[in-house]
Amino acid sequence: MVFDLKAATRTPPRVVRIRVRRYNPETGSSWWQEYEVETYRGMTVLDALLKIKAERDHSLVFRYSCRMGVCGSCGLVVNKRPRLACQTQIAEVASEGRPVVELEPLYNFTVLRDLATDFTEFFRKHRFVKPYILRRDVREREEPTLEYSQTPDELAEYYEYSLCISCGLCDAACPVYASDPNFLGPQALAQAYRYIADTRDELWEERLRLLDVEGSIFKCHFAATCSAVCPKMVDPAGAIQRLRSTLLKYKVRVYRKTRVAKVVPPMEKREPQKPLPPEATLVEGVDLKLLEEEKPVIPVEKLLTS
Amino acid sequence: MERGRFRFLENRLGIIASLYPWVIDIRGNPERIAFTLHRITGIILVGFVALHIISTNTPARAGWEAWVEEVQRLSGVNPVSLLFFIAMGALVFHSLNGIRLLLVELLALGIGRPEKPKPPYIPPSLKGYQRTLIYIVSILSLIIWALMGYVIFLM
Amino acid sequence: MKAGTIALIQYATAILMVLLIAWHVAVRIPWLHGVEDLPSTMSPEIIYDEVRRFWPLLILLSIAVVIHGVNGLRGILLEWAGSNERLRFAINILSILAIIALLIVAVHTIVGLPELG
Repeated sequence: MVFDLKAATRTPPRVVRIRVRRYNPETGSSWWQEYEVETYRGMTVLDALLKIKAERDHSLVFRYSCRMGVCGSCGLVVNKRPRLACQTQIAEVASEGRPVVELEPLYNFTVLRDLATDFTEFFRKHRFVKPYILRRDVREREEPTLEYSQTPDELAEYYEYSLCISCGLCDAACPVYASDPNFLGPQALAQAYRYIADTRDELWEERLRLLDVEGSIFKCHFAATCSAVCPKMVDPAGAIQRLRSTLLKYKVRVYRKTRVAKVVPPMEKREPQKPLPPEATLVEGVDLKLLEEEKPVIPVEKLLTS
Repeated sequence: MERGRFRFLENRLGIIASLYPWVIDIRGNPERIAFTLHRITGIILVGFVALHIISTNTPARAGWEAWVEEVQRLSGVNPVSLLFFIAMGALVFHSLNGIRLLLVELLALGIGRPEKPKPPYIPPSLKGYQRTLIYIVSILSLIIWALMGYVIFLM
Repeated sequence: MKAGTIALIQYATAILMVLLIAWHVAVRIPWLHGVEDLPSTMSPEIIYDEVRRFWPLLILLSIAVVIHGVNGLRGILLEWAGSNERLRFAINILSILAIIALLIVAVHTIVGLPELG
């Protein structure tokens, strides 16, 4: 998502009308409710919702946790665009000319009540792509004794995709996900690519075969709205294109993962010391075993004076 | 969805989301419009191809005289030639945008390299040259479509 | 068939079509034949000559176009059909039938082309 950096310092209209799309699961009725909220500079949509809940209407339901764009709980649709409530300034979405903020629950999710949506299906799809590192040596993976090697370049290949906070905004924006409930969705597919691009992952072939089914990558047609709304710049659209390209290349056998990371011992104790070759001769009076135990002290003063 | 005495609301946008891009705010996202146009032109073209295959079957089915009659319906401005003109526009856009999609989807080109987030937080796939290609495709297809219109209607 | 294989076919036919349709449209440019308007480029003599010389290309084009088109439409319809299994099955069967039917017509166009009288 492109952040309006100027909006953070702009003053919002003094009073904004917050229109909330509410839903009651007991009666099954859905209606728009309007609240007028006095704003202050730097007020976010989540602040406004909390203010409404504290002062006006305690029955309003919404989900939030960290209030700083890290947990990904407060995703909702603000003026027809999926956003994180805590990251959206009122000044960004309301102006003096149109002091109205329309809030809806995330599209394409099941609404539990008011603005709270059900993420069961979302996480089921996330789990489907096996979002964890797979190794042949399961023992080493589960009870690691050493670490896997990875260069900064290899990290940069997937680092961006690992920033996903599972807020569900991409799935709410996706036009394919909107009509096809079987589609895995941008979030799950981006995470699949994140692990395939990770050099520590060894069973990438298994994951690729898992994705070679109806309703997975090939349902994506690059509308790229997922990337446009992502609050963490994860770029799911780019990840899915790379994933699809990888899978198709793999199918015509021109793709192989170039490197799979091996376990490396920590830097300090790399290898046991090699024995000296037989032709090496020791200086008289030097004991190798003694040298290992206590480091020789080089008398610097003596060297300087001589 | 129902659970006990609670009934939950399926909040799917449905088919409309893939036919009308402005159901959500798509500022900074012309790819969405290209996607919708690609889909609509695709549906138009399937219909056109079916009709085209059946109509070009005329000489084999009814002889050359019928074919000459069939072809004459394309001259001048009339419903048949207008539909033909629309189908040609769909064809040009679908082909040129298809080339762009082949680059993006098949070869993963034009979507930049993965990078670390930094302000103003524009994802690399929206900065890559596929974005420029959208504008080139739109302008080029309008030009070619206009030329085709000249050939169909004015010559 | 695996989804990946179908996607590969879709992309392969797309590449093929970009080239073949460019040719197929270009031969309708009136100036190439030295005639005034579009219908004149489709006179029986020109069409007969074209089919006789380039029939393998035309067959290839019709195969690519029919597969790409019907499969593309099938993808869109499957997406809209949701998880209704019987509807999905019907769409798949109808697509195969549509491909076969359109290809029969296309082949008949070329095989059954009458001699110029």
